[in-house]
Amino acid sequence: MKMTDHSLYHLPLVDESRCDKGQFFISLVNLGAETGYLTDCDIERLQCESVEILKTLAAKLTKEKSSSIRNETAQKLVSSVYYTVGVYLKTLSPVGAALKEIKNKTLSELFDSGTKAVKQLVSHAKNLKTILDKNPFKTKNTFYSGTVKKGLDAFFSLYNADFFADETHITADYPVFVPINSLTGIEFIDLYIERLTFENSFCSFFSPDDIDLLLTASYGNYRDAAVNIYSHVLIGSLFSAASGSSCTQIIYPSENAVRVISGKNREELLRVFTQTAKKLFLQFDFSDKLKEYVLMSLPYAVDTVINARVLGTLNTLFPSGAAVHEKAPIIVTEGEMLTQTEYSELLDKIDRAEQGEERAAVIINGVKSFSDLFDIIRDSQADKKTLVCLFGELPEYALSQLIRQYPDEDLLSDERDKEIYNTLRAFLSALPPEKLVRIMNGAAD
Amino acid sequence: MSSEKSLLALFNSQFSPYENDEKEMISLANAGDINGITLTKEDVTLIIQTKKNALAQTGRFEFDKSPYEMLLRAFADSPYITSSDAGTVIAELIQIFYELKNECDDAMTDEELTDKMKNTFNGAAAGSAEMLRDIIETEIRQERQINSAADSFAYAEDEND
Repeated sequence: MKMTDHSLYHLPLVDESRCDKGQFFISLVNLGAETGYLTDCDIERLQCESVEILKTLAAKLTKEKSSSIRNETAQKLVSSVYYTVGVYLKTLSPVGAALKEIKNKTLSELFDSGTKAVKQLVSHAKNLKTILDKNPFKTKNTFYSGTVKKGLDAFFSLYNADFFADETHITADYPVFVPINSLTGIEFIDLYIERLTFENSFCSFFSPDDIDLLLTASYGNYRDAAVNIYSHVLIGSLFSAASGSSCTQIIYPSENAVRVISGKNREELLRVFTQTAKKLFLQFDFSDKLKEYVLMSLPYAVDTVINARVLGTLNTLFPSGAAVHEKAPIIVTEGEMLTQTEYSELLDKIDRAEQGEERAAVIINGVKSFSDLFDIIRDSQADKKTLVCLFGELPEYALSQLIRQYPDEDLLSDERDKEIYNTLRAFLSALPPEKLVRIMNGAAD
Repeated sequence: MSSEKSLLALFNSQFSPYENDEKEMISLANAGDINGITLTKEDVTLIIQTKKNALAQTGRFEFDKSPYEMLLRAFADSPYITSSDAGTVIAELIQIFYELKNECDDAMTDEELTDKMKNTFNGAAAGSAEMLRDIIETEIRQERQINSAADSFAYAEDEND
């Protein structure tokens, strides 16, 4: 027999949409007063109890060595008390239960519960930060590194849950894709780190070289640009997957993108994205929470694409093929080939360089096309040490091309080709599994 | 009805321990001699009213017992105060007390500030409340400048590291 929760019948009805997440306690008290659930006596009791808590906090703050504080400080303490109570009340569901709690418990009891809830959030946020630190997303973007490496640490060293729980202290300049509205203090930071962790986790399924190439092609020097990296990776992968390309691809030609979105309104585009996200979920081993975050991101992704279409800035999401090639840091498929003379000069230069890192650097700096790269690897007589250094410098997509060039030893008759094949195989086998999978997927595309 | 601002206003108007202060001051006055100083009822009224105004003017919020007794006991044995002008001088000192609390950003406790005021009043200020204020204000500002310079130096060193 199904049990009915009779206690729910005694809860006041509250229009949850009218609750202000930033001023939760105050907005709830106001709603309670409006509906008559909280009487004037209740409000007066809350005010008297607020005053008592304020007096206690002010005494603690001054270590009982002052009899007065500035009004601004008193105001901040009150805000902190109400914020702390709000953090606890948000854990209750439905909202009516929170209002019932306000009516039936003293503010001091609510504040104690809130203090525990705030401390739990601090602990949760610190754990997430540890995870973030252990799995850093390598990027040259200073907004990202400034916020993750310095900003968040500064928050934890400045945060004072006992007196000023609602203060955020830092500006968190790096924007997460799904914006965090109206929250402050530890609630903001906890959610911010959580979203950052999801975004990092998503990006980790894609080649860092491709991400760098995408952003470089989109923004030029994106080092000092306040761009959200995840949004670019997400949108690129959605478009690639939607058009039937590999889900691992994130660089999608702008010409094709215009065709995909042409004539589609917001709802239609959201439908396409939602369908495409399911392809990503099949391809990648996302956690359930990451899947939720991706789905939560889709409306923002749609808005980003539509805004870019309206503003004529689609090239910042889908760089043109020319831009990708122009900004490519090392070698691209259709890169410019060397003339016969340049090729001979490069070979001489390679001969003069020491085997190992120096020789690998000369090769990397000397070629611009895969065609020249393949030839020079064969002709330069680079030894194994040089080859390993060279492979270590190549971006993942170039390694994928090399695998295509040297797919199977049985197909090779030349001893030099066999040597290159075996060195490449040994090099690949030492790579982290996830990187190897990306490279192999790239070779299979 | 309820908002943080209205709560504070309520606290200042209804929950402030002024009434208790008044009782305390009257009992102090009735106790007669405090280190040779006797306060009249008029003195008590003047001091209490000055404190109310000073708190409002300096934007401060009182949450505990006022520092009346502390100030009275500290200044009562001053060679520059007599029973005839004690009410006026203590009232003036109360006003200065809250101004200096703000000036030092609450860095000094009530007791530290009272001691400093007493020493300055009996020393360099030679019984002038006005001069006392100027001297301590100047000291606080100079100390702030030194601290600010030291902070800038430390910051520059950190940046260089």
